Amino acid sequence: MATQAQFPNQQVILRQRAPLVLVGVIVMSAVLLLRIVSFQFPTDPRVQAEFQLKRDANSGRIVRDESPRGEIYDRNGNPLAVNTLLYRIGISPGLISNKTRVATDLASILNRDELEMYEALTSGVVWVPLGTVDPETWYQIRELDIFGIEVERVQRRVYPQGPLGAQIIGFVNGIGEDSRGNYGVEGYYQSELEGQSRDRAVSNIPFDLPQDTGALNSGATLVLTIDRNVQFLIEAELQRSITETGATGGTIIVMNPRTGDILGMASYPSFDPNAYFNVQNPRELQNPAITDLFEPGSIFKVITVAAALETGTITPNWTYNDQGVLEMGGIRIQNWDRQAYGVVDVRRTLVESLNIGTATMAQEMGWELFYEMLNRFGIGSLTRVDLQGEQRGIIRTPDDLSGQWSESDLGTNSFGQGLSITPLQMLVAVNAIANGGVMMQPRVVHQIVDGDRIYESRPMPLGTTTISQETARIVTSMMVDVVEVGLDEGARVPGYTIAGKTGTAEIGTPVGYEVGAYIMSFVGFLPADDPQVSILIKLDRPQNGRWASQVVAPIFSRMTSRLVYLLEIPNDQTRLDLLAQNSGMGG
Amino acid sequence: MAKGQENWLSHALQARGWEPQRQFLALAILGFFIALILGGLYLSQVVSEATLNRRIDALIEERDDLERANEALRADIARLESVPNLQTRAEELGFVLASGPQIEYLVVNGYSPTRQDTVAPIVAQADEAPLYNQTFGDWAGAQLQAILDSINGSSSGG
Repeated sequence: MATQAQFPNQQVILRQRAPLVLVGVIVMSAVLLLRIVSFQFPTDPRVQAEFQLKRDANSGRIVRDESPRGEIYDRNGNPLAVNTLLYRIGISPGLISNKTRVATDLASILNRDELEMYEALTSGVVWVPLGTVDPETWYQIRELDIFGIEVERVQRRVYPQGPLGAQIIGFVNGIGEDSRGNYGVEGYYQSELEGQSRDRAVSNIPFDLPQDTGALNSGATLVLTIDRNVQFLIEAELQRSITETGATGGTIIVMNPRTGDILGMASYPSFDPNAYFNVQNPRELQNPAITDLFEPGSIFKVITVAAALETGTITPNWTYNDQGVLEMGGIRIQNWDRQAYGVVDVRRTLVESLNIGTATMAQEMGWELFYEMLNRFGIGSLTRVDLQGEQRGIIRTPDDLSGQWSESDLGTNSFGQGLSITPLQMLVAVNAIANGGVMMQPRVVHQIVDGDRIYESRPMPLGTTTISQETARIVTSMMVDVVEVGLDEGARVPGYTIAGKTGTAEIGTPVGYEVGAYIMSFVGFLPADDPQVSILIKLDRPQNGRWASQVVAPIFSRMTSRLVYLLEIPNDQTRLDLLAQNSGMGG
Repeated sequence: MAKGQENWLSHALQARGWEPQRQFLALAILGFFIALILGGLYLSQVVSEATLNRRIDALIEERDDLERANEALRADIARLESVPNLQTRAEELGFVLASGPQIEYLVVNGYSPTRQDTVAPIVAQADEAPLYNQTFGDWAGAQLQAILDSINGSSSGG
């Protein structure tokens, strides 16, 4: 009864409320419709971006295009650093229908665990990176025609010459857009070498025309002053010298003193830039020729003699009385053999490599003139070579705020002790003598080729004239005597006139000098009357001799005998014949 | 109410001439065929475009692969031409390093032994972008030729 009584009431209520519900539904639908329509008009950029993202996710994808990094060549066009392509692949598991089969196929090609691959595909993530693979692997994966695989091409740096010139070239770490040059020219010219990258939308809709937006500009190409053959020769010679002498390290630099071109620069130990990540000690990635400081020892005497002659403190006929000991600033300076030489002239001072002679010159010059001349030779200053990581060197002067300088430094500095410089600084200073008094800025990059534009690096003098042409000529003739009649006769190369000087320096530590350990070096240039190449050889702690004249001079001779052929430097007789012929033609 | 229904029925069933309905039907059929032709043309165009796009995609991919192969070959050549490889190969062929007495200098007229700065010759890149200079007449002719070729091809094939 109660049910029958209530039924009419419910119908009445329904009739009464239905219009309200209907109106409500219509109003809400209208509001929703208006809201949908409102999205067609300009709206909040964040909302627009979200919609675009959702739209593009269904109709296309973003691909990153990347242009290659600039290549590096030696002076004769031999490639030192080039690029190859790798493929960075990933997969969208949501788009795969048969995950088991895909996991099996991919695991097989990528040499991965099948179960691990299957778990990755079924983990519910929207994107699974599969790593960076070589082209052959990518072609195998492409053959599978798996829907949901995405691929991106990435550049990889390759050094086809292997370890050759690694410390000059540097290396690139990372691949693709994350890569960056480190050390050497790769680091110094990072902004010029790096390529461009851009994101490109690729449509999945078959009616959309594929967008080929043209190639991106690649990074600039560098043409170095390095000669690959010279570099190979000096690296081989350095390795052989290290083995023969038991040295712990060493450096060889070959330059053109007239232009400042570095033709070759090698140090031991080195590394393979293709496998830089295997190097345990990061210091091995540096270039010791510009980063490692050493006390040059007697090779520095040529600078002191040149400075003394240039300032007029001495003349070529100057003499002093060598008594075997000289007190300076509270220390006793002695010659290398602890002998007294009596009355000695400038030439013999250099030929016999007498510490007391150069200390006397420095004493007579006075600290102001002496350090001013060292400054003109670039000692303690950057050479501004275009390589990453160059060090300035350490030299104490009376002007230092530290107040550590003493008069004894003036004496020891004159024969290359008590100051630290880089091997490159030393060779650049000697180049001033070889180049008639003009010191050239060392350079490694000869040309930068950026598309159609070629930027050529011109030889640049470092500051003003270091010494006069006459002083350079006199010091050169003395350096010739050092090799021809002096201690360094082992450096002679038959048929060529060499100007050079050896040095045997003690190795400084915070508490004095190491006992029984030396740095032995040779610096020289040839032909002495028309220098075309200058060379510095430095060996750290060689074990097979006490003096550089015994250890390093023969290495210089052996290496230079081959170098002159590579650089097409004829012997003196042929050169004079050519000169006579040319002057005859001119007449 | 019943009378109203009768009027409506008799109105619907009363005899009418067929002429106007035939005209309408003919127009409708004509319209249908025109729509069919237009639809066919549209679909043909879309299929052609999609096919062309596929082809362009494939060509771009092929070009990229060739570029990659070029880069890889250049790297391989550079590796094979590295000094240690050349030296090893030269020694295999019986060459030896020349030493002092084996080297003879020849004086060549006008040749200066002073080494000049040398660099790799810079090869000017040709403009590879094709010039599009096809006129409408050319295009129409090419289309017509393609149709004729396809007809000739299918008839000769048959």
